[in-house]
Amino acid sequence: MPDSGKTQFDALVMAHLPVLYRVAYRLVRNAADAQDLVQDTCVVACQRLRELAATDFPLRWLLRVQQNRFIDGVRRKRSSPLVAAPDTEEAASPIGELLDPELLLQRAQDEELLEQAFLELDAVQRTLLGLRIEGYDLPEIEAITGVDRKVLSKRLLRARRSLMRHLMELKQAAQGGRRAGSNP
Amino acid sequence: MNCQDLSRVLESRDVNALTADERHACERHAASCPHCEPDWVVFTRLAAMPAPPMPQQLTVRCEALAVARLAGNERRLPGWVVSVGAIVVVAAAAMLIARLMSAPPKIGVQGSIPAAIVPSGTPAAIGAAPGAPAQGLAAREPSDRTVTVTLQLDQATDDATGQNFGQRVYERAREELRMLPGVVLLDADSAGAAMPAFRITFTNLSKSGGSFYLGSDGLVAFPVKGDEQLLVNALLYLKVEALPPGAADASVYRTGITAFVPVECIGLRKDRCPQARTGNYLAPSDCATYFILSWYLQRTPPDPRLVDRLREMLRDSSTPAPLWQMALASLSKYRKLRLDASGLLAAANRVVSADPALAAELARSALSGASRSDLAAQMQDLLLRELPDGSRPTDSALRKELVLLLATDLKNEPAARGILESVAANDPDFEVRAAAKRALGTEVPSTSFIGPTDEP
Repeated sequence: MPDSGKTQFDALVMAHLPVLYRVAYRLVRNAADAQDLVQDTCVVACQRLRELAATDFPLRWLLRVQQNRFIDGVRRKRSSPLVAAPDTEEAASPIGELLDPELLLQRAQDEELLEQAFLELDAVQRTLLGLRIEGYDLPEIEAITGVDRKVLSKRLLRARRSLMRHLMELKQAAQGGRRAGSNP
Repeated sequence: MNCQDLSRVLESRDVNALTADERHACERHAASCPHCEPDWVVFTRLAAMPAPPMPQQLTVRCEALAVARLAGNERRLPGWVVSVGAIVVVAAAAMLIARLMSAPPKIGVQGSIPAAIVPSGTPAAIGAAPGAPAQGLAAREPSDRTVTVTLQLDQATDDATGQNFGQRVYERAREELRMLPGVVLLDADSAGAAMPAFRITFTNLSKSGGSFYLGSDGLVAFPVKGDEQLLVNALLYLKVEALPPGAADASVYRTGITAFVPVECIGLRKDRCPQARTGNYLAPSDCATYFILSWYLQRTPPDPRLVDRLREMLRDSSTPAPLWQMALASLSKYRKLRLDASGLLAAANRVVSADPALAAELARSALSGASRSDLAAQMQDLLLRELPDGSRPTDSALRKELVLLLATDLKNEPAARGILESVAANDPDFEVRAAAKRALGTEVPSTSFIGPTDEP
């Protein structure tokens, strides 16, 4: 009966939708792409509902599918002329924070650079960091990705280093641009 | 706390859930350790960046998707229907195999051709306006040999001009879909689909606070004050989900395009915008054509009519760059490009900066198609001819590629060495000269990298 499948889907997938969306957003920094990533994951979940129902940890299963879809998607995009860009408005800080406007502006610029630096990382590094900042520890990430913990640890370190390197480069470029702009 | 402890926190703890004491200890160590500080600051800032709450619309979409998919998966058909279905599938497969065998060999085709896409004539027009009931639907029942798509437009803007643009893209997209063989366009409700399977979304991606909308003549924007060189990045995003009726295994395709328009162009008509003259500009109809055809051609070879249309796009000098490139790439991919050697080289020259791999392939095709002596003459022209302003007619990347081809494929031609020597001596680009020297077996001296100096 369709209802039994739908009930299973609700229990196994719909219950985890907010987590899936949050992790997806961490990866793509873009609400539209995050929604599509989650939807893609749901398509796979529908197709392989029996397999999902048989697993002890449905969220891990879903996160692994989502991670694979994300990595595949990034690789496909790299070989096509299409560019997806993040939307900044939705990731903006909560309104109502009483901060100095100068500080607020500086923070927004820093966040934008950080976001750009994050998007410069490769898909695997983004996945690992995305899961980490969502609060998953190494054993959990190991269970999700199927990658050995020691390897993960090294990859995470490398991802953090790459992130810092990209950030430094972007900051230097931004400072160079500002200097050039202020001194015609 | 020491460096290892902090590293362990960054590896295994949720930094947003640290107790005040733990956080304070980490911060104190980071402040005193130049090695750990950047790592800690960057990671915690990244973790502190908020993720927006999940849109309610996503829940609705996923619910609808599950209803549609699971109902399809669990439908049980009587035995005789399965038998007839199997016969139809075998017949369709046989037809497809026959078509493939009669077609010329295709090299470099990415992905497989969906068995459901089989040319079946041009579907009749069905409903022009979004949400309008389908006209003549009874005569257009989907069969096993078609891909059924539904199309819906998400109008996220209240602006009338922007809505007008969206509407025009939408209508043209529907026209394009109707012209494609093997595709049946249905309205979402009429198809019985619980969700739009094919939608167009306009996304505002202005990064620095300026806003823009899509006007009827193109992109219209309100730049940030004092930021006159801002490039507005307009992403038109299309998601396609083609669902052959009854198929349990559906594929999701996506495409999109980013148009870069400098602020000084914005608000001007297409003919007054210098960016538009370079072809990097898409009118609503171009957008729609690009979306639909790139989706279709990604998966399926073009039928003869579409081949003619793509060739016409290549010949027309006013074809915008993205469309021109799509036509070239598709015709080349499906081995339908009919250009002589000089045409291939000209196309390679035009596409080289956007797609160097395709340019190289075209240049190689030019080599294999022309006679050796003709080719040497053409190479000479492309590599050595100077324009009145002293520049070369070809891009330096393509000249470098041509040098390599000359050195490998034409190495026994007497003219080839002469051309290479001239390039090595006279080309304005250092890298091209170096490539020619390498091809001739001449070492590039290290002093070549050092420019003239004013010192005595």
